Amino acid sequence: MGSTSTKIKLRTSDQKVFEVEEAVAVQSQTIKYFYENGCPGSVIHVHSVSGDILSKILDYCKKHVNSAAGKEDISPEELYEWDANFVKVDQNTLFDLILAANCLKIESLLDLTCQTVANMIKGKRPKEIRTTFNIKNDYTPEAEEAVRRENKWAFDMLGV
Amino acid sequence: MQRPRFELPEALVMEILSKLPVKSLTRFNCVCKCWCSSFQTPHFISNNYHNNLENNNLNLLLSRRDGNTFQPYFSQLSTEKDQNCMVKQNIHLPFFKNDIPSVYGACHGLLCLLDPSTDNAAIWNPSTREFKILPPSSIQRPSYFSPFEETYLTLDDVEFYHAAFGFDSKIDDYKVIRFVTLTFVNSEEEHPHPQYGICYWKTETGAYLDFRGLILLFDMGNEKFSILPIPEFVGSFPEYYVDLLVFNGSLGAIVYPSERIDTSFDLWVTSEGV
Repeated sequence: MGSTSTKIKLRTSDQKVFEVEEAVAVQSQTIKYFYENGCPGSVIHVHSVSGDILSKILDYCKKHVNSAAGKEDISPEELYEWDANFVKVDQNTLFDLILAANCLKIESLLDLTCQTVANMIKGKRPKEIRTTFNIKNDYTPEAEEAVRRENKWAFDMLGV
Repeated sequence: MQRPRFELPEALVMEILSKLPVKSLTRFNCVCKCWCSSFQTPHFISNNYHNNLENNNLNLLLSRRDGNTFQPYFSQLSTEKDQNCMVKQNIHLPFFKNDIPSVYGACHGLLCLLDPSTDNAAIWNPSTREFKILPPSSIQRPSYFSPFEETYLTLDDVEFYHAAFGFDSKIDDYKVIRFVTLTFVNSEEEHPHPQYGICYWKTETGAYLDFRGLILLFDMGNEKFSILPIPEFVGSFPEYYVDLLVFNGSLGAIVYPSERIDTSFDLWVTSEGV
């Protein structure tokens, strides 16, 4: 881990530039790779992430780095609570965060955001799920009915 | 939830779905054919299993019997953080409907059920409700020479009291071990001799049997038996059932009333793993 004063410059898809502490930026395995293998002091382009989303993601990384380094006095329960509030966003933002966490390779954030979506959809009906994920129903009505009958117990009471 | 502005790549959608409880996944088989077949892949099943364990999405099952109809059923308990074990739902068996079956396992979420009255055995996945009835055993019953009576005895009775169920990673399959009690009689004297138990299938993961206040362990690694004392706290409560289970990778004991339909249970866990 380098000294905390070292900054890494990141440029987003909408050409916003962020100066980020090294320890925070390298939470992203993708940024870490470019940082360690690129020219020192050069700007790293994060093409697929917008400034708004990167700003949120950096908040997340900062919180977790500070908490792990003991810079911030925060209990695991408080951090859990903080995470829960962090993902209280609309669905498009949540999907943006998932895409960005995947592309930047921040595993804990990918887990958190995917789990959040899983919790949102676990009690839904198949029809609602198709809307959420833009999925076309390729079953004939008879075939769908057959699958439904086969798995009847899972429909008895929605939920988990 | 609203219709999204864009679609997530398939791999990320699967990442999300792999974090769902099995009941939701079962329902989502209806979403489209592609999802239905993706849920069947070993990769997805393994991810889903590990995610559910990690999320502490624990499912404890208790074998019980309906007080009015006497039909056996299972209570699924959920253990949410900092809460008592609560009954989440009751599951009725699609087979062995008359006699309360003996339950062995769990191993990777699967249970082995034996119907003591008919000697039938089945492997059951309570999460997906899928089951497989096992074929009858083809074991040869050996004849028994009694050193006391200096004669061969006639096999009179075969009983299956206990079993164990485990996974053999070498052959990537599940195995059942059964303890068979053979009773022989001297056909001339009609004098029954209660006999020895033999174990005729080996399995690989830990198994245990409750035997006169002792826990019998069978180490599937070195295929040896060993004995552990029952923890003192369990003692003997006549109104309570004590069942052994594996909880978070450790051996545990769950205590619950035999008569009342309480929704709360006590659970103890050893500090060492199984």
